[in-house]
Amino acid sequence: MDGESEPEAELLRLSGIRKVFWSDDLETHALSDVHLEIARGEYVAIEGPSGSGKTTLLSILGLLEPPTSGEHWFQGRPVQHLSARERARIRNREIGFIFQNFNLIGDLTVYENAELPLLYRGLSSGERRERVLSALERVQMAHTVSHLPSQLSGGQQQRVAVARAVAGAPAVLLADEPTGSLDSKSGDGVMDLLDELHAAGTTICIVTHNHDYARRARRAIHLFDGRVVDDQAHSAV
Amino acid sequence: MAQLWADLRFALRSMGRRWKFFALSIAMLAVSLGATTAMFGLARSLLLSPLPLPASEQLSVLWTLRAEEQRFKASLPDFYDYRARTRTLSHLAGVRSWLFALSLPDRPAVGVSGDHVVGDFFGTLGVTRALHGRLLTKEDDTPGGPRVVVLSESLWRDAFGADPNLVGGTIQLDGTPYTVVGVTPEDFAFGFPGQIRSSLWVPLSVGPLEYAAEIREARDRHEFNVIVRRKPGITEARAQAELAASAAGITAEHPTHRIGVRLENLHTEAVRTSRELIWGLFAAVGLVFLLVCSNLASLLMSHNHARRGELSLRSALGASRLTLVRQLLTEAVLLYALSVPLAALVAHNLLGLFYQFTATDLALLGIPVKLELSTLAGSLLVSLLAGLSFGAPPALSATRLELAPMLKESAAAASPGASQRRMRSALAMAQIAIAQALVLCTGLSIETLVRQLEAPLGFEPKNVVVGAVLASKNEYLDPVRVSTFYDRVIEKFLALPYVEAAAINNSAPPHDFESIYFEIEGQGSEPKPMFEQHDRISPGYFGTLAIPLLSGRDFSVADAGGPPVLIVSKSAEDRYFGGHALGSRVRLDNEKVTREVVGVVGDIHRPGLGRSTRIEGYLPYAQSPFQSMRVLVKTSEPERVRFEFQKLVSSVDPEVPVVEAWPLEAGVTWYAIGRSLATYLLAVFSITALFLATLGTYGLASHLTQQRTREIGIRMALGSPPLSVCWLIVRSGLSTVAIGVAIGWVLALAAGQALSRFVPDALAFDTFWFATAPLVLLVSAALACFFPAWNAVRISPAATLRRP
Repeated sequence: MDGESEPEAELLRLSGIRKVFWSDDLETHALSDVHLEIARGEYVAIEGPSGSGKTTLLSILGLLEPPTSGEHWFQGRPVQHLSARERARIRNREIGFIFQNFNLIGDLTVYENAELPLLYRGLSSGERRERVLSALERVQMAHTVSHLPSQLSGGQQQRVAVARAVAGAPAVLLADEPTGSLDSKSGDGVMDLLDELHAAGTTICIVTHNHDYARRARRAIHLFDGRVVDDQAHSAV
Repeated sequence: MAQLWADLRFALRSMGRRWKFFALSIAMLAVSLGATTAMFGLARSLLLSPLPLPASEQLSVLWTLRAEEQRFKASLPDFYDYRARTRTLSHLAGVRSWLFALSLPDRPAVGVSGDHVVGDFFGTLGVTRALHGRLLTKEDDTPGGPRVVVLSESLWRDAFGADPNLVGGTIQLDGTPYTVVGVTPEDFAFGFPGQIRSSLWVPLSVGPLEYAAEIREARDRHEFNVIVRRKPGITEARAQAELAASAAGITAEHPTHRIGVRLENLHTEAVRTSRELIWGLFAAVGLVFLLVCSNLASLLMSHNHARRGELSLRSALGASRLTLVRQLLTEAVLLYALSVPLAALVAHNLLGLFYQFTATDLALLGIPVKLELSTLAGSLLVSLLAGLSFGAPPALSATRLELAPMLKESAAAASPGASQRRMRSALAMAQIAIAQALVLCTGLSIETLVRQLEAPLGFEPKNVVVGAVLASKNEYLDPVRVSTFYDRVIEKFLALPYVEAAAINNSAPPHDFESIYFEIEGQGSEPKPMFEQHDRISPGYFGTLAIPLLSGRDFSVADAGGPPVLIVSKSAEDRYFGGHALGSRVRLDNEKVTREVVGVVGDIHRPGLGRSTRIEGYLPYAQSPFQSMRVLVKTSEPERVRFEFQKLVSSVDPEVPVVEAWPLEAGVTWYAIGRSLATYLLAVFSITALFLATLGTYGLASHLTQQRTREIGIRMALGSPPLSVCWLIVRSGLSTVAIGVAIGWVLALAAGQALSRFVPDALAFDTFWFATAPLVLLVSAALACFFPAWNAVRISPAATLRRP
């Protein structure tokens, strides 16, 4: 585990997680018997070849989909049997997502995109504004509040996506190949941003193919054929 | 609330970006909702709102019932008896329509429709104030009293230039001076249902004295429409019971005069001929509106499906399914709500058009037709409910999300799984089934109406012009003189090269004018047989209207001075004469002579819903002439004859007015409606309905195929022949559509059966619609599946797979 900072407390725990997909006549075991714990403040990279179950694991961690079987705790509370509504509430308040393809809504401005989770949370207009502007400043995109995503570069769009993810001060940031659609310079910029966020205390879990970026995390989990084959801490780059 | 505003803002922005789609949707909604609103506005004004008379719910028409519950007007002695015996009625008035010849300075006399009234006519209707002067009172109806008349505001304005000094002055009616005592208020209009609107009112007692004296004693002359007003708090049933007792008393005193009584609410009576058509058209436009909604649901489903990536993201960011559904519903409801102002505009413009051909009797009572604010509010409510109802399935479908794959890839590229495909196919099937059922129900409703409207009448009104001629001069009280006058008029018309035939009748078919009981010599049956209509006609009448002579002979000139004769209709022969009427001898209730049946002719049918065959007897007019007759002219130049009608009549007697000349085809209101405007409108509705259902099916089938674009690419990449792939896709899409069509077909069949049980004359099945509609939908679906598939196989598989 991380040698520099002692984790405060357990944030996420998976125990005996299985995930099976059925499509037509085919049964695919995406995850098998996964055991995992992530503590507050950790920076975890999930690595593995294509089809090893990285994204599925991240989706389960992010409560985007439930496991087929096994136990899942979030902040010490079992969550695998929660209703869709309750899961949505936890995603909204406790989890921030960053996607490979940014997933900004084209019809909304930068400000409105970043505001979206806060809107769903029911915060007042003033509080939303304060948090959104603060998050956009943090990713150095405050000057683009009125822009539409189509008016931004890929790197800028991903920065806005990061701002959206952190605006609600989530307990954990889940990033799925956040640099996958970016050139190396923009990719470095986004990873630097994540480093800064971690340094400020944010728990981060990132899926990446890029070994160099994975090395920035303090802990690396290797998946192969839906199983955790390696889980080791390493020093920051 | 903040989220709702955000949803609204986003919905408006989204509409702005896809304005063509939304503009088309709003236009479709506006037209269909507008038509539905207009029809409802019309139904509400005419059928559901009270008549524009004070306490109109207290007003009823009193019908005399004779054998087999046949409705008759009342005779004057009966009217007086009812009035003397009643304790439940506050007012009674008898009305007999009359055509007056109004003489005007420096102009030929004109025919004006009016009423001879008995009793307190205006008091019965609740009209107490005149625009000028006074109204008639029951004191005016005194034999030997001064000859007084009240004019309608429109006659006063149009014929006398709104001369305020006219009140107190005299005018000439039928060559006799009458003192004008008043003018009715501007908003007062009256015409008894089935008649034409009256322009003046004269007390019967001071009208043609010979007529008044004769009719005062005749219990068998059922010539008065009686309107009654119940005392406050008296129910119609109670008044009915009292009048029935009075009728029983009259029968006890006059055993040969067996009568009953039925009270019919005046409003019900006024809407009788229009009700079915108005509700039928309302149902037709309502179904078209539902089809539009159903189509929009299909379009929204495609539209929402294309946004599943965005919806997944919103869900990932914490939006619950309820929140997403609410957002999509906000958009759908906004779409419907935005169509309401346009729909109101459409409704406003259509209202007058619909009114023209649906409300004939209702116009007589001057019922104002307008779009009430509450009707528009109702329209908005219906629109919002439709938005919620038809927006919900697409919203529920689109928010059934599989988040992880949607977020990983672009939403459109994420191939749906088997369960998703099954779900979408089921939804598509349901929508197609609804569209199919709706279009078939619309077709059945429309076909029912059209068949009723276009059913054969038993006579040919085409190219026949009718002129209402009023030989009301005193010299024409002589039967020989009036017959001679009309004979000469007929001769004048027949001399014209463009006139094929001409004849006269005291009424123009198919309107019922006068029924009469009769006895067949040697039978003495009870109840008495009855002609539902008996006409006084000239020789050549049947030829003029192409009514076939089935046996015996037509009337001839020789009948004028010959023995009394009669011609009967086929239905009368079958019903009363055992199929052999020729040679039978008949005595009509109002005659002392017996008539020999010399001919049998084809039946005339009443047009419209609930149509029936008229049991009819014909008399030679020369043996029993009227002063007011209809001259019917069959011509190759109807407009020219109409124009020349007065000139021709004036050439025989310049003082005889032609009240009006009109094409019989237009005069036969229902027939005219069937042939022209209503048929045209209904045809437009039916084509629209089929077009909308086709469009919706095309959209759904196309949507189903487009979802399989990646699959097509994969199959092509693996080397499948293009046509084979196309056939696979078309077959698969068609099977979904075919199941939907079949379900809709069965639903419509069941609906048709149910409807035909409750609605008389409603069609339960129509071969054309039940064969054509499914075929059109299936062909459109096949094309909708084929074209996207064909486009997909024509480009490289790699490009297909790269498509978002």
